[in-house]
Amino acid sequence: MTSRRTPRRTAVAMLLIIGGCSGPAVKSDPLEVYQTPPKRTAREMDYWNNRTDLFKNPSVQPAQALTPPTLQRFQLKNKLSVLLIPDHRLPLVDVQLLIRTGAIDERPLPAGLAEFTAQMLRQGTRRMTADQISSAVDTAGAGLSIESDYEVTSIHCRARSKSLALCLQIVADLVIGPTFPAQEMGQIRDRLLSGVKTMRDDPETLAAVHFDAMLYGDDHPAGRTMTEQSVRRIRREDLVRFHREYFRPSAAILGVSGDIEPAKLNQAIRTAFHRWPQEPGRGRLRFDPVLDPPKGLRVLLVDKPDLSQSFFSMGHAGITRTARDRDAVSVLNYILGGGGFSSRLMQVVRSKGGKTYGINSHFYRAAADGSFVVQSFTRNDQLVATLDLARHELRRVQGTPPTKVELEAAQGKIAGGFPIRLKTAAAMTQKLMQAQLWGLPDSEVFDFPLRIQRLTTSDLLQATQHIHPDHLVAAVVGKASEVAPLLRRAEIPFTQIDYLAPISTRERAALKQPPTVAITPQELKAARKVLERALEVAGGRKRLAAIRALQLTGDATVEAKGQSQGGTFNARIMLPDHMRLGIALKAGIAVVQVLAGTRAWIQVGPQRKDLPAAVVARWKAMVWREPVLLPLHALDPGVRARITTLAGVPASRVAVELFPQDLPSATLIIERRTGHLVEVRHVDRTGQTRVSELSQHRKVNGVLVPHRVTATSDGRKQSVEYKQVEINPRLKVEDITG
Amino acid sequence: MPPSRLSIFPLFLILSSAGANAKPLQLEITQWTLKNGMRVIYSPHRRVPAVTVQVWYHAGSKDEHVGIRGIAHMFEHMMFKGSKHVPPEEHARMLSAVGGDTNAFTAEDMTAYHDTVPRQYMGFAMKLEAERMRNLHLTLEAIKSEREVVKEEKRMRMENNPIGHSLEAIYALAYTKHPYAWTPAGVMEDLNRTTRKDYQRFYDTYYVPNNATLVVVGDVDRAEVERAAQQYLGPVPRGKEPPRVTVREPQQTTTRVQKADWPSQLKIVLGAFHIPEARHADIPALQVLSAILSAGQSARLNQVLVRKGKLAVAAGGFVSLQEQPGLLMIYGVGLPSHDLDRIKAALLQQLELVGRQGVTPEELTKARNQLTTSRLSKISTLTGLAYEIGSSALLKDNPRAFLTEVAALDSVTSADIERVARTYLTPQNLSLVLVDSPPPAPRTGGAP
Repeated sequence: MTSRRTPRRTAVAMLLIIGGCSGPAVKSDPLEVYQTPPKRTAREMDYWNNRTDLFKNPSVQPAQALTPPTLQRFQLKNKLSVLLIPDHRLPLVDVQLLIRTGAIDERPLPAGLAEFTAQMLRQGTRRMTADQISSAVDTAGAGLSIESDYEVTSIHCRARSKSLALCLQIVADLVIGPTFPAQEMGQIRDRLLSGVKTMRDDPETLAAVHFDAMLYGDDHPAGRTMTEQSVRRIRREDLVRFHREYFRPSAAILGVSGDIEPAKLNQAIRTAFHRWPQEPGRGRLRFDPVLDPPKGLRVLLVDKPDLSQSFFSMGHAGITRTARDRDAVSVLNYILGGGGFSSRLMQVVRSKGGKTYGINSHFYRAAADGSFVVQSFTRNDQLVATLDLARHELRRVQGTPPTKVELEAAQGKIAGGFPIRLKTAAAMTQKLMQAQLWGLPDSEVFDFPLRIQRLTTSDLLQATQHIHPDHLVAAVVGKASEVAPLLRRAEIPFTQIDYLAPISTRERAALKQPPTVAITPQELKAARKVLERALEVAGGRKRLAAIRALQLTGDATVEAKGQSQGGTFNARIMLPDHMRLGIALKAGIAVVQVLAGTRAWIQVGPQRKDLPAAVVARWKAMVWREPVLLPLHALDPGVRARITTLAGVPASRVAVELFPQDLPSATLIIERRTGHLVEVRHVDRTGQTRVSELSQHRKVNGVLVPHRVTATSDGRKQSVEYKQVEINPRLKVEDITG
Repeated sequence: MPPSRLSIFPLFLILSSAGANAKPLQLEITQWTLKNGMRVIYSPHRRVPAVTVQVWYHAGSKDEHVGIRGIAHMFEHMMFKGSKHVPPEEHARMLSAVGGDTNAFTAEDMTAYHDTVPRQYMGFAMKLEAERMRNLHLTLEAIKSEREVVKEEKRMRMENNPIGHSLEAIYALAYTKHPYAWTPAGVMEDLNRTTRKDYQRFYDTYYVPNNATLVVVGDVDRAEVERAAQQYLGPVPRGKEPPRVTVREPQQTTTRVQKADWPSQLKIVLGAFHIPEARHADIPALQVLSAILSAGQSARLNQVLVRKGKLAVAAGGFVSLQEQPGLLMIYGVGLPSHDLDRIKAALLQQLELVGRQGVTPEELTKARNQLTTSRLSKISTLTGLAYEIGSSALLKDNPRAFLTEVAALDSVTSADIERVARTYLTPQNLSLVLVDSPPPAPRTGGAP
């Protein structure tokens, strides 16, 4: 849904943006606002109070309709609409194609499909390979960009006038004949994955994404988010099908603007686009707009312990793109929270309340279901107070509706500024195309300033019906240990999850309760027999039960993509829940992971990062699975087990699945002849199987220790070879926590 | 008195490269100087009924010294916080009320304030700019509270942004004496200790008309601009000539490397080579080189590192043009599964290759075309045009430089590129920042 900042605002995107400008290194908006705001004291304002020589606003001139540019419209036989707007001021042309499809059409296929499909368009067509397309575009000095949004996908080619034919041909080719080469999928997938990766670390985006999920639910396309899992599940045939079903000329508009001769273009466009087949229309799925609005305020608290500030997205359902009172709603929103410094939310929450440097509200429009969102951030200990102030303003907008003064200021900005915002013919063209896409006439654009000008305070009062201060959902990303007590004290109902948890409620629930596996007493007995032998071979119950601590030191090797790096490894374990793992690669920096009872953190060089409760739980499971101790733990009371057949496990080995209470399941592979534990497998939170191979078993103080442990996942292999193993070394808590 | 006209001539430029259908582009840029030393540059732009009024002060982070680093950027904020006749935040509110936009940016060499308004409010915008040029109300309270904003902005930029962090680090690495060592974002301890006196001194030194360039682009006539500039900005009293930075960065003699200690989800290799100042004769060749390496998906670095080599998710470069000797940057970004050393090696290898073998005629044509389209695109909006004029004026002392450089760019040869590559892109001239993402957790019995 468009209420989220797309995860594409990634580290890569930022570097590309920085790289793209040879301009100043800092481009900051002085009107942008940050964490703790300046509270204007009365004393400061004394300097200006009661003065008569202050500058006054010049009088605002009445808004005018825009002068429509010369334009031409026609439609091809395949129902593709075309809009032409000439502008000969510069030898530039823009070819823009808007198609009415996007994430909204993805279901039931994985989230991310629309964007994957869009990005793959230029990776190969029937006429040209990806490199040929890039070469043709770059050689002409043209620019080609493709964007995929919730409801609209766009392709834009900008070039000098003499390359117009090239732009037309390439845009047509991309939309009509993409071939989705399998070998190109990896690069696009990587790009999408890097975006998803950084999304988790961006609290503002994370809050917005969770807000959408809360508001719309798992079954609504606007409630879904691209994740690593969903991207990985997308297959080539999904891309082909999505393109075939949704990239249709009847759902598209082609806009060509700039240094063009419309009379000559007619034929060129028909030639380029007539081959675009007209598929029979598919009805769009109908779904409930949003979940039943909750009474009061319902909060999802997303724990990210390294944050000193909480970011929130709070709101409810909004309006559609064609709502009758959409203009009044725009102006109302400007006054409430869209108009920067002068907005009510900003005044109250920032200037008077001192809670934040930035708060804004927005009505995100969609063809069917929009949303209304208030977004801000504040110190963790101010979160509830800030939510309260914001809610109060939402209530007040109905009790104390916008005044004439507020209305005029808004009209001045919105109506007065509109003409100068459409800076180029391309911008004007795009605006008209968008209006047409939603079935609105050109006057939607040309008469906009006049319509804004004609609004009255009673129009705005009517529009306040779209604000629902008593039916709100909010997603808060912050430090739960500080925020949760405040929510409890304020008696605001909330659910708490960690920032790495799945966005979808259904997936979260599934993780919590894995399906119970039925195991017969016979199966359990047979499995335990195998495990008892392994325990004997490992040194016996008495010896293993006497282990309170372990220290393992050795060499580490990391292999990925054919490259190998070496370093050292050190692990200290104090049962049951203290562990320190350190790995230092020769060419890299030292990384230390610490589990200390109820806390966990990772240290990279001097930087320490606290980790949430879910990680604590996972690392406790890791201690439980420590190979030296696992033969003992596998026989803990309450651990169910069964022998299982697994592909790839030879007859000389037996696989035993373990189902401990309150811990993730694991599979042990035991060598029949020796009784050695040779492999441990488990499924991680992203659904991937992690494998640890154990070898070089040798006894230390009568306890069997595999001296070589190799862990593989995701094409990456990490091996540790122990040089020193101490059983029950003298360790203090400080040896773990550092 | 009419403004003295040092040079007024319209420039009619024919933009064309190989091929027919070249249309002459008419771009008029006129410049004159007021009696108080303020330079005024005007260019008509009739596409929208608006005008952008911009004041470019010849002061940036390089005019700071240790102890006041970050002060230039602070002014970007302070200029909205109240002057004699304009209460705090009213500058923005008043312009907004008439449909205008206002913003500013700080760079190493300049600080620019721009107001874009419907054409009939040009005079009002100039009045506001004249007002805050010399009438800023600098109080300790205002400074302190705005300082918190700026500090928080800096913190937020660093926290979840390993790239921002890396860029700051590489400037500090590449420059040991010259004030380009720090960026406009400044340094936390200096932000904390700068006094009101420091602010007043900086303001009185640099915020004077003889240190400012007024750029006006829009749907207004020259006569209107002359009149209004004289009326509103003419009376602002001239100040002393501000001091200029004369520090020279000593020649770098060996590669410098910094391994990052800040966390990052992605791996980053960032490299910087010293290059001459913006108006140096070698710059066009360096710009063409940068385009060949980095512009578009067919560019060398993307092809070799990303598409074919699969060593990175992104690779490229850019030229950081400054008034005094700047840097040429190259970068590679990888997922945790990529290898940092291989990214670095591949980047450096590509640079060495250019120095040895030069570039192809196709690549030269491509770069020329890309640079041309980019230029046209930039000047297609009134604010874009004003930006090109302002930067040209401040960096190269010639408001038309972005147009006159076309000839120089078009005549760059492969030999020129080989030469600049061998001259500037050398190991002795290189600073590197390497950011490694944390490896996956070491495992004993399994993975977290």
